[in-house]
Amino acid sequence: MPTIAAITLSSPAMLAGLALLAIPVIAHLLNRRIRRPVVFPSIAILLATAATQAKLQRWRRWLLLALRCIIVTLIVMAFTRPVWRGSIPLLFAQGKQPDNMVIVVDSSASMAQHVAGLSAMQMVQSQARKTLDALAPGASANVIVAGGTITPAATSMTPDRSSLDAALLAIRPSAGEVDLAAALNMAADMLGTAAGAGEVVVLSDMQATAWRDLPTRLRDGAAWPADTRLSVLPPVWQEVANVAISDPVIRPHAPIAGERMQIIVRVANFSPEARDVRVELASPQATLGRQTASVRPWQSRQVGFEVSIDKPGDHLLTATIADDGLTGDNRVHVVARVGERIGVTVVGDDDPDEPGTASFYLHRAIAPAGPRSRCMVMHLRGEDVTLERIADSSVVFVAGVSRLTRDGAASLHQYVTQGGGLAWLDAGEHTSANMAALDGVRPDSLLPWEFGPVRSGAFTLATGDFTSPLLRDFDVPARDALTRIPLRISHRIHAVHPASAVLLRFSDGTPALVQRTVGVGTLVAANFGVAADAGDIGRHGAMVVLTQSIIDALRPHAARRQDVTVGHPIQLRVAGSEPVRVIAPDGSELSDFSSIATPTHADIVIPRTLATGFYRVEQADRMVAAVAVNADIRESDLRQVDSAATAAAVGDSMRRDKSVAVTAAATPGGDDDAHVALWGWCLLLALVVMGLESAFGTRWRR
Amino acid sequence: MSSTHSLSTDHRYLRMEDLSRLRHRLFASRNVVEGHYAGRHASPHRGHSVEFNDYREYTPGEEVGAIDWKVFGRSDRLYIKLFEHQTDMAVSLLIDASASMCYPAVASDAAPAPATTHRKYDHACMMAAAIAFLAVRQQDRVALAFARDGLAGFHRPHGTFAHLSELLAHMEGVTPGGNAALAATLRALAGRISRKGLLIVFSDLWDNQDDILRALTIFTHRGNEVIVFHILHEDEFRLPNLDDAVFLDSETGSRVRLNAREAQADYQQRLARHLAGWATALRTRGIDHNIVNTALPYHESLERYLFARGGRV
Repeated sequence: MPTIAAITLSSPAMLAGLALLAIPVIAHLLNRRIRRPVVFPSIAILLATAATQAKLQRWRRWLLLALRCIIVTLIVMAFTRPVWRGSIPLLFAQGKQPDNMVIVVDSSASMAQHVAGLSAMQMVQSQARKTLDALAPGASANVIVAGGTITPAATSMTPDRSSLDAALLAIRPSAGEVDLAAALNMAADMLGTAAGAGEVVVLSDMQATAWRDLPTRLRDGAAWPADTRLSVLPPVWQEVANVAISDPVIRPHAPIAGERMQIIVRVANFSPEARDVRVELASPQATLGRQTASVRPWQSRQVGFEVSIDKPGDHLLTATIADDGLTGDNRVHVVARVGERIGVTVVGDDDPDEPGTASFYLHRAIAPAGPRSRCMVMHLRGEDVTLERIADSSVVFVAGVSRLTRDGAASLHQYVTQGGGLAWLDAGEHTSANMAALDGVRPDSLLPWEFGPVRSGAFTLATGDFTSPLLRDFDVPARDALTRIPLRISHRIHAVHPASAVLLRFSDGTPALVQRTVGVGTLVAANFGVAADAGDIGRHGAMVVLTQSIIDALRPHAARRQDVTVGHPIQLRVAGSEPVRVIAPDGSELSDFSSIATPTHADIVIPRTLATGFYRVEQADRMVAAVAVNADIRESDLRQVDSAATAAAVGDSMRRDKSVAVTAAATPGGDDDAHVALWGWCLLLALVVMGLESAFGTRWRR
Repeated sequence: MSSTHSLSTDHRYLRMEDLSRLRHRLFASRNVVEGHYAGRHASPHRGHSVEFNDYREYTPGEEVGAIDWKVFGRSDRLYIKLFEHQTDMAVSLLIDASASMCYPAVASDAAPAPATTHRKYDHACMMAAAIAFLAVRQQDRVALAFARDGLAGFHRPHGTFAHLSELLAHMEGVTPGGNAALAATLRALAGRISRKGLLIVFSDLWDNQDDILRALTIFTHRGNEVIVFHILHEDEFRLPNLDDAVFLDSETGSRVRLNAREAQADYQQRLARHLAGWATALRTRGIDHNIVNTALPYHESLERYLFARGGRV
């Protein structure tokens, strides 16, 4: 932004309004007053009087013209939004100038906040430069940028102000939080290498994240040289209100093509007023939805979008809100990993088209929408089960099998141990024999429990671990519905395998549903049947929820979607052995990553993410994976911690038997760099001058 | 003395109610005047009269009857008695009838002012008419002249009321305009007036001062008494109540633009100096200078003047 002396113009284009100065000038030139003609006896004396008056009139007209030009100029200047950037700091008011100074500049994400047309970083840069300028000529100095990494401007203390000045100008806010403790420790080390009195000046927006637990994270004061002074300059601007968007969630977390999913984001209001926040969800191709959320002061709320994506693959979605004082937290990114339709096999000897059979209920619970469901159902009779036939299925359900052959049992056993998901939903006399056949497959038994004899009666499901991944989709009404379903056949359970987790129990405490991981596969077994003669569960909607939950729990997952906060690493695996490229959010190719390739896949590590957005992994110019990196929401609360109290606490942690003085700047934002918005003053001055012009004009026209 | 009944009708410039105010006033000359007839005023001529004035040594050939034998008896020397010869006074009235005396008749707009507008000329004529009446009533003679582009209209001095009526009618008939050329008029008038008397000038004196003073001096050197009534309108004292205006000189047509309100203070200072200059210049020449504001009724101005004059004569 252009600067006039110490004044910065936030909207310099408005200077074009100075062309309006032509108006009073033209009016001045064209001023022709209507003069009344008067025949007077003699104008001899009037001529002498007029000679005296003419000069006075001329001065008065020029004064009025000047006043009118000043009015136009002041109004135009007001529209340019001038900001005055103040004077020298008061750092040295309390004592002698230091011989050495280290300036620590906070470059966390919150330093990108804007106040009165300037960013916090710009204001801090100005303060820092002025602080350097005020140093005595022979003093040495250095600048430490506390950003994603702690970076000194020079390798050692230096008297070269110009290089430090250039380093200050180059500082940009980082995308994440900073480690001020590390920066201060570095400052202490630097001052320890220089003789004479030293001072550390910390310039920060005093946002809580950077100063959290700082006193306890600092080293002992032993590292600090004697006669060191710490100054923490408070911000010269008022706290900025901010609204942030964060924490994207997709439900279900691995949606299927064509399946309706919910994208949920959180909107947080870091301001003292309630806000109506408009949230827009979009992909690179289209806007997917808009909503307006009312958020109370200092509260947050979730906003959900219902979306359906028909094409499998990674879809890059972004939710945005209107830009405000801090723009880095006004958008959040999420990768929606949309999968193919799930292949599910039902093994049963009953007729899936005959109402009341276990297969009948299972088929409808697995694919309730028929061909449009996310699952494709294949049916096998028990005797037809082979590994080849079930190997491609994501989940295999077994229910209503009259007799499981040995080969069938072995196939099921191998299917599970190789990573498949098996759900055994059966109870009755045939179930015991089938379980025994499955148990006979060695070396490791799959059985999650030791079945006892069949029992008939009236059973209901009473308790369960509804926090488990398999049951977490059961909300309160669904749980209530589940526990009301009468069941008639179950088994006594003698023992539950130690590796099994009991998910549901009957009212008498007997395990009703268990889950066991075997090898890389999983077995879920029910102690009840779904056929009509075993109970009523097949007829209830809870059966659909239970079945879908089992499918989600058992099916093999692609690499889970990662949610990374900026500043943190990314680790992911991509299939294939071709060389990979990593593209940063700004479109540039990233070089700072490692890739360990195998014949089947590559493991990629990006040690530190520096920007928010999507990091894309490409193979052969095709995107094979993407990771969304979002801002740290902790940087969004722009409230300032008290600089004096914070400085005192930091000083206490530094001070041991060394004389370490700690001060906060004398006048927060007062005699230090003052960034004062001047447009209000310009308008006020224009009104004053208007009043003068009006008063003079009226008086001289009388 | 002729009575007021000799004036048969009211004239514009001399009305009955004005006559009643003035009937006790006398208008005398301070100077010794020359007249034809026996009147109230001292005459420089020593002749036979009842009042003794002075002696002169007898010159052979003179009348023996004039010799004062009592003085001879006391001094053995022959002396002749000289007596005061009381005579009538010739009052010459000179009225400025230039365009400037027409103010405020053409004061602002192009449209002429109503006939009831009281012009400076009207004010001068009223004063002149009143003085003429006083003079005729005390058996003095009155002459009348107008200054308009020089001497315009001269009435020889007479002392009858019929003559007075003629003078009044002439005043009413004159239309002010043009330049006064007051100095030239005075010179011309000086050639018409042979005897010592009283000259009264009614003018706004917006002419060259030096020329006027030189012309007036002719009269004073001849022993005439000169009285100047400096007649000005209220607007000439204070300026019209206007803001921005263009002032046009009524005689020269010159113009000047100024704001009257803003110029008022400076103008009044300059006018005061101008009037003081006239007063000083005239009085050092033994000429009576009286500033007349037409805002004040003429008879009041005249009464004050006559009262003051009566104390000096």
